[in-house]
Amino acid sequence: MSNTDPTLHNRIAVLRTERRLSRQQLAEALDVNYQTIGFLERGDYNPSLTLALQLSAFFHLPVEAIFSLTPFRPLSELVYSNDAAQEQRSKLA
Amino acid sequence: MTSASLTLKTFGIPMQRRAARRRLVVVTYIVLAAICCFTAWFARTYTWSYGFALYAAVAVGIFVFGGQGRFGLIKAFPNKQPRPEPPIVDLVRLHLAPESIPAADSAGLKNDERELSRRDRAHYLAFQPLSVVWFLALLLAAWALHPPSWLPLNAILSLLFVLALVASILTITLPAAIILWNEPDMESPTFSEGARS
Repeated sequence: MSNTDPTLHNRIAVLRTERRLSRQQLAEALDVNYQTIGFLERGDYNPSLTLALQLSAFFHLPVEAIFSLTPFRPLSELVYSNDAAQEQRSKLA
Repeated sequence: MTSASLTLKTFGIPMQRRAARRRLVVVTYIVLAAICCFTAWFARTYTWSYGFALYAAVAVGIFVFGGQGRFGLIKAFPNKQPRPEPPIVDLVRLHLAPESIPAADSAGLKNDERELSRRDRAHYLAFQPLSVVWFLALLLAAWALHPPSWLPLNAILSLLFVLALVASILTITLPAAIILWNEPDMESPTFSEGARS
């Protein structure tokens, strides 16, 4: 990664934990060094398009669900804000 | 870093910590500098002895720092596929069982994309001081053609020899040393802190 690259935010750590995978297991699935997974998770390394697409295929998610140029909102916030909105809608109905 | 990253050791000392790797780099260069001094002094009588310093540098590159082969702390820089299993030849028909060479574990030897980018950056960084050394060597070589009055020719040639020796050693060892110096502390492969959010 060059130092001039914009920060690329990602959800790899969350997705990996959800699937109960170690870094080693994810690294073996993607044919990379497990340290590279750590670098990716911390945002210290921006992956190539190939690796990003491999991650996307591995997690069965679109690339934009894993990577973003803007920080991701915490999943808990997303979930509860949706619930709150639904509750409001049901009340209104 | 290497195929044996999980048990990264040199002379029995764990090298997962960057501080340990930096100590290794410093100690190695002190030893190489001592060998260089000895060689430069010894080469005044026995010219061939400069080979000792080069052998030492190559040994460091292969067995300590890595980058030059399967041993050492860093994966081989050429990033070539390991030698494949040899084909079954007619010797089998003669019941002379050929000794099979076990296929190397390519996953542990091949650099991934981050390691390749790190390798390329290390070579770029190593190029900067090396180019300075070679420019100095060129300056000395120019002086050797027309020695100034204040510097005898023998001194110029001796300096040129030392400079060329240092440049050769740095060419062999510096990229790997830069990687060992810069790579942060290594984590456990099962480490999952920070994965919950």
